[in-house]
Amino acid sequence: MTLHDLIRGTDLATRRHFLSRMAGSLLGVGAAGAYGPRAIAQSLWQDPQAPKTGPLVLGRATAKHVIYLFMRGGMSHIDTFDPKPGKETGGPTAAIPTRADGVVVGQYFPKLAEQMDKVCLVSSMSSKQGAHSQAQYLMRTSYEQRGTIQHPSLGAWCHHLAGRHNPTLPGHVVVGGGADAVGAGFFPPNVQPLPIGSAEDGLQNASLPGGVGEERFQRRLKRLGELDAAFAQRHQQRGVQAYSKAYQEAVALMRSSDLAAFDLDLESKPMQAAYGETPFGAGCLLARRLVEHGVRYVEVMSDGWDTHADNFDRLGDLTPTIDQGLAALLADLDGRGLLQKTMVVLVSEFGRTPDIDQDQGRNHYPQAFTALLAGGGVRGGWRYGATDPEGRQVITAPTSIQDLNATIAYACGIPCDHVLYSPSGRPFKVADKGIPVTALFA
Amino acid sequence: MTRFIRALALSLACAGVAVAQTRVQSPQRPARSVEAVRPMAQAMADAARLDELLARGLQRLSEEALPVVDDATFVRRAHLTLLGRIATLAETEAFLADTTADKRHVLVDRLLDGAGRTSHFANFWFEQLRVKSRQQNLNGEPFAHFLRESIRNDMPFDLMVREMLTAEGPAHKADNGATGMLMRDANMPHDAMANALRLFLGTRLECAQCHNHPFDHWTQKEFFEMAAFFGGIRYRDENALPNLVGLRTELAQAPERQRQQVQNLLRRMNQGLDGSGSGVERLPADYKYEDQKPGTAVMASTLFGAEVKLKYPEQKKGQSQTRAAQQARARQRDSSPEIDSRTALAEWMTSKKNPQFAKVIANRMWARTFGAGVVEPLDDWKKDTEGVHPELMAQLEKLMKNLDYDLRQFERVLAHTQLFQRESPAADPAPGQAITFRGPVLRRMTAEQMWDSLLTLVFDDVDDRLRAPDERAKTVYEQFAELSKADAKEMLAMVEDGRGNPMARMDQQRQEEARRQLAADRELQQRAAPLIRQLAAARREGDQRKVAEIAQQLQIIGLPLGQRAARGREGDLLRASDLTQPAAPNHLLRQFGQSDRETVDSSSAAATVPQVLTLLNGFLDQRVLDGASALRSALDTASDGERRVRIAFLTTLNREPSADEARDWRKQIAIHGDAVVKDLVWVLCNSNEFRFVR
Repeated sequence: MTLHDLIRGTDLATRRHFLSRMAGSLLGVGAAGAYGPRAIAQSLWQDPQAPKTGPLVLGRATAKHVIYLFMRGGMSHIDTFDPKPGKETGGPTAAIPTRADGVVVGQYFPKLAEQMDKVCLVSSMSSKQGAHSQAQYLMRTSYEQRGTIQHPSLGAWCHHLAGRHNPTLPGHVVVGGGADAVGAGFFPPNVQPLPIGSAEDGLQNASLPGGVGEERFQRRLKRLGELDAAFAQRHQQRGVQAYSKAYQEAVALMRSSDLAAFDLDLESKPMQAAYGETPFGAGCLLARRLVEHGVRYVEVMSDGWDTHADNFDRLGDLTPTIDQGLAALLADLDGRGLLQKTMVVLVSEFGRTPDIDQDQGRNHYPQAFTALLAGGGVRGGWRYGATDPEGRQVITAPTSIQDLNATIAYACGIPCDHVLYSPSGRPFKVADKGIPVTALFA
Repeated sequence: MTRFIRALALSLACAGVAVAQTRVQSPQRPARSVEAVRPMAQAMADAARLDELLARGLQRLSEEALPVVDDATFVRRAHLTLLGRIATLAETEAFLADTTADKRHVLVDRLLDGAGRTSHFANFWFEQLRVKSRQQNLNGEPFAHFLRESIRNDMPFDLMVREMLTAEGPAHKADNGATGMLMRDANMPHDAMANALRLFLGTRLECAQCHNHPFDHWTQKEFFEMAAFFGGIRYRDENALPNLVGLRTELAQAPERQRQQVQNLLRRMNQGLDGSGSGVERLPADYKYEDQKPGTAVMASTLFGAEVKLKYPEQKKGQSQTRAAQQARARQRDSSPEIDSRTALAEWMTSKKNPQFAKVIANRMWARTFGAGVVEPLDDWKKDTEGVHPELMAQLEKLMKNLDYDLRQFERVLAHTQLFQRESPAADPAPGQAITFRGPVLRRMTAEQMWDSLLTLVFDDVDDRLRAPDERAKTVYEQFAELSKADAKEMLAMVEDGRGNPMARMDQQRQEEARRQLAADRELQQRAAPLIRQLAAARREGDQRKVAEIAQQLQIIGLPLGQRAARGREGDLLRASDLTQPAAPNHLLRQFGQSDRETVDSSSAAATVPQVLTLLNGFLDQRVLDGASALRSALDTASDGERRVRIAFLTTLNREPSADEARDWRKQIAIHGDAVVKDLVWVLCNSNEFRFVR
């Protein structure tokens, strides 16, 4: 008879009492009496000072920062980082040598080829999810998309568990996200990522409006303080106090010299040109600046990779900005001594079919695809795992999406077996069942 | 002279109000008045009964009800709770000046009869039902249209749920928006069931989709027995549009890319619900409990309340009708015929005998009105849940049934209670303690209330600018109609000139509309330019009479001072329920926590930095404080500094300044000049008093 049967065999009241006692000890708090695990979980969320479930011990972090570049739509892996020249499945894409011995990439990445000594290509990614929305969700959160719960993204996990380096700047920024619903999920709203619609436009509303000088702003704030103080005398709810705190944070951010991080115009023209004056290039440059100022997790989105038709022509249009931006980012981070503690990830939700259809297109292919990692302790200049000569199957070191996310979390020092409970009482881990691929690290 | 100015200003204001009353009826105005459906006396009697039970409940807890609030607090609270926005200057002043004894009750009924109520309630359903204007291949505007109409027409809630659960046919066809609820979880009927149970029956069953529920008694098998009511449901109506196969020969000559586009177009447009429900569902392949084999077919069975007897076919004479025998037959069948199990589900769920249905909606309405439920959480009722005031909860359930699920009448009763007039408590309850309702709970405005209230400062007639309920869905309906009559040639033409993509078409239309608006605006601005120059000069000189004259002239040429744009030209400055659902991630609405519509109840009232930055440096200075807003116009036509200070308070906080406040601000104006009035408005809009509903 299993424990489960034992529990189910008892009557409801006994069972619930037992479960709450057991959950109480699991959660590291005293028995909660009449309040079930859900109530405990909820009360933990209501009070951010309360200890999280169990003792969270952060491991040694090789990555203090993560720059996560997401190619939305399913980037063809064969034409980019796992070329198959000479095979029919390789199509017209030639392979070019790189600075890393024995590593070739598709012809579209000449600039990146010069930086391959910093890069590890994980060519053995494999998944079962071949639909865009679901696969993107899985990649960003490690869980399957349900209509009943919103999982936090990997960035939100890192922000929430590993915290901020710079208290005045947000810990998690997403550039070019558009209508992206993946964010803090069921975590408290203070780890909601800051959305930046366009890197070139920067942070909206962070500076005083025209016609309002610092002196006048000070006067406004003073008067506001007085009015709010009067209100606080009549109402001491936590929600009210939370606003005072948010105003302090916002004003600190406005006054912080770190705000300059969002202003790309402070970079020299040659620097801006090196990254490329495109949304993605600007996004990469902004990511470097944010990392310099202590932001832990920056995501940059790129769209258009769903090449069902005219795959090769479209890749010819899409890849130059990525090639330029990524190469510039790696060289720049390295030059500033930031690459060692900044993990750069370039990934897509799945790959594309080895077989080319009559539209010169490739279709969705989650069975085998490639992820790119650099920095943050990752050993550079090699390829991990392999696909067969035609690019159809993973033949060495298959790596799941959860494993990849576990690897990123591991680099940030987050234990992959640490369990957190959602407000509804369900258990979650940073990368679900994923196991970090420690072989990737130097 | 000043007397004359004041009289003129007042008459202008009155003219404004008078004009408001003779305006065309807003298309979102409720179809009937609350009084026509039920006399106020009955609503008040019901309200008194609730107050009585609440008083008893408080007494049992040794707590005292809080005193009744003053008129200013009441007018603001009533507008926010019933209309979803703060009161305008005119509405506030009219109410405060009114001396009739029962003015609060009269106000409640009047607000419930307003178009604003439809907009505010629409936001409630949009959030609960996770309405999205754009789902992957689906346009959600027909669903939004259905919901607005249901609200306007006082569709009884049980009928609305039955319609949504049993809807069939193409989702993009005219007036078929009820399909929207199940289409929201297209191809995920288990999620649809879990969400329906959570929303309508307050039962969280999602855990049991994958394993026996860890904290509650539900089993996975029970979940699948519920899911069986949706058995066999299909998300495409293949007969809705010309079949691609039939067109294949005609399309064979067309280039591949165009053929693909036609195919995509048809695939998008024939989305819809098909199948009345087979009453059978198969357990998953990884079912791990010993009571059944994985993949076994189970028959629909209800979780609680009445059993539902479905008529499975092949009930031959002499054949055993026991469940076991029926189950055995079900297991043998490969595809299960449709037996209208969805209707059976809908009837069971909405029946007056269902132990949860009326309770759950009654409690949600209470929570919406007073800031928290009698039972918390709202969607996780257990067998022994009674809430903080059991007698009151029982009465609420009874009331909901007595009103035949008319939600507007139910809301009316709640708003006529003494509780609705009481002060909000000064602090949160102690940890672990429930809210007891000595007064309504202090809560932050929802994102939609915040946006709509800020809009009220820009236009003083936001409710009159509400669009027709089907305005956004019209394009979709038209395109569907065109497609259903089109032949292959016409379809190819449609994809060629961009009519094929409903999203692109909507965008195209909107862009054209915006261009037209801009052109018309430019012309209007040119005509108004000299007048505005004169106005600025008159303001500088302090010539109030001239200011009032010019204001009138501007009104005549169609750019009334205080209307940022003429009717129909507001661009995206519309009430939240008339915008894209949900708003874009950078929009003020999302910054203030509007739900992303991915999961139920995912809006947030938390304080975050982006929303604060928007108030500090963004929206207020750009839209509210600049010359064309209603608030600025009221300030500019005010007679003196004292009046300006009062206008600022009355418009934003819906109250008069205290003597101290008035004196302080007058002093500031004396020192720093008129710009201080703008600072005053800025301070008021950034204050906690603005954003919290007392």
